[in-house]
Parts: sequence; C-alpha cells; structure tokens
Amino acid sequence: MADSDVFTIAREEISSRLWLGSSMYPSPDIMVSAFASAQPGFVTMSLRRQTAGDLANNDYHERVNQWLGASQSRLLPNTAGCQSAKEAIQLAILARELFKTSWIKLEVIGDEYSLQPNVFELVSAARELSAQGFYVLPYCTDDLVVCESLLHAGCPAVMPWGAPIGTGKGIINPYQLRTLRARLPDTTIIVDAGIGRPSQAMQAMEMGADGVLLNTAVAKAANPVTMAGAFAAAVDAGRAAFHAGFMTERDMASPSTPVAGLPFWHTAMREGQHHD
Amino acid sequence: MIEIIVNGKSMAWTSEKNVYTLIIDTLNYPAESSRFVVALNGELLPAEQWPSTRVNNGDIIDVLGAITGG
Repeated sequence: MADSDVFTIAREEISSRLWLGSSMYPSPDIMVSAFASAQPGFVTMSLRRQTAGDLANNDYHERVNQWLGASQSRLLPNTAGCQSAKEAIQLAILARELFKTSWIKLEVIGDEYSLQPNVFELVSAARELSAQGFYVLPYCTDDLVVCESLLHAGCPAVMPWGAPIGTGKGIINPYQLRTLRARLPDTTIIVDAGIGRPSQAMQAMEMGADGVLLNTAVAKAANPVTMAGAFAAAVDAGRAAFHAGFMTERDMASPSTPVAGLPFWHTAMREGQHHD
Repeated sequence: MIEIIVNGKSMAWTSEKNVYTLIIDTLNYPAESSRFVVALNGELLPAEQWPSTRVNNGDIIDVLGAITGG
C-alpha cells in the first residue's frame, strides 16, 4: 500500500489494518511467529481470575509483552464474556489498570449460542467508558442504527461482525456492510469476527472496510505462521484494490483485445460456420 | 470469624488482615508485580490502597491476570 495511506484512530497512528487475537495458538512460539508474519496493528488479550501459580506460568502473556516491546503492534484488551454493561465497564477498568492502555475492545454478549452482541448494553457501556476516557472499539452487529448510536456514544470506530465469532463463514451479509460503508463514509469500520479465509478478509477490504480483526482463522490454520502472512497480503491487496477503484460490472461480454485489424474478420460467420 | 470469597472460593480466618497481607502473604502472589490487578466487591482496588484497606466479612475479592483472547 502507498505510504500515504496512514491509518489513524482517535488521532493515534495504527501500524496495520490487520489485527490479530492471541488465543488458541499451538504454542507461544508459534503465536509470536504468526505476529511477526502478519505485523498486526493490534493484538488482543483478555483478563481472568488467576492464582499465583497461574501467573507464574503465564508464558503467553510474557511473550505478548515481548512482542509488543519489539514491534509497532499495540495491545487491545477485550471484555469478552461480559453479559451486561456493568460487567463490561468493571472489566474494562481492570483491564486499563492491568495492561496500562485506554484502548478497549468492548464486548457485551447477548446470546450464548450465536455470541451476538447485546447492542443495548453495548451502547450503554460505550457511553460510560468513553466518558471515562477510554478509546472504545465496540464489537457490534452490522446494524446501521446501532453503529450510529455507538458513534454518538463516543466510539472512534465500530467493529461489526462479518459472521458469528469462530465460524469462519466470512461476510454473510455483504449488503449490510456495503450499506454501512455508504452511509458512514467517514467512520472507521473494522470487520471483527467470522473471517475464515484470506479471500474473505480481502473481500471486506475491497468493500471499504478500514481493517479486519481475526483470531481463529490464523490460530487454527494447519500452519498459523504462513496463514498470518497470507492474511497480511490479502488485507493489503484488498485495501489497494478499494483505492484503485473497480470496473463497472456488466452482463454482456466485451472483448479485451481490440477486434479492429483482425485479418479474418467474421470470415467464418459469413461462410455459415458456428463457434462453440 | 471473617469469611470472604477469593476468586470464587470461600476463605475464613479469625485475625484481622488488610488486602496486601491477604494477597501477598497469605495467597503468595508476587509483591511489586504489574502482572495482576485486584477487584474488591467488583471494583478496581489500586495496589497503593491494598495496605490501608481492611478485609471485611463478606467481601468478594478477585485477582485477575492476562490471558490470551480474541
């Protein structure tokens, strides 16, 4: 991508449009190698109850910290698992203290089966956390009115799902993502969740998404490191294509090669022959 | 008798403790560590307040550290 395509959120420069989760990798070494391959703009983590023994053996946290210190990636804590605005606000405040960052991926789950966000609680939590100085990046549905409400609540970006978390189904409602892009032309849109293949990430970027956030598709690949690189290339290509501007789709065929000057112009047709 | 819940499990003792003593001396979390945070009854309790905060009967304390996440 061109150097001029600087990516900023809340006036902070973000080094990449591909963001990665830190969960489910086969080992800490493979996780860090995948990060090195993808060079993600953000790496997500979470927080849970831990014993003293748990803390002493927390290799993943140690390795993520080392990666953050040696790269341009930023840390994005999440509030995964919260089911109310109150829970999410409490966990976000704890995350800010633990991770020393005001960025928060705000998750408030409303349905355990689909992991669909509870958008009412989400907007409520976003409003409160924004007032407390957080940079709230909300995991939300692709509903236009919900996204508008989140922006009014103070979020510097919205993160609509492509498909339910962990499904790998891609952009299951491309119409809605196109609508969001068209109706919110100046809003930073990160497609979060449901991306399973690099082609799906590229599709999101071609449609004008500003970035994608994914985890399972890389961590659960047979070779996470190679897949991380494939996603990075796809995101870059999709972004470049969006900027380049697409041809207009048409129903009738149109030859790419000029027909003028062809020496046997329609000879076969004049002789009554047919082409298959 | 003071009965509290730490990370979802009941604990009980007879003498008075503050949060620092509970976390560092009783539960053996590392002192001066930035790798965990403490919530008292659901609210963040900053480390500098641990020594001056008495553990009261019925308190719910959570000690949280980083985990991987998506």
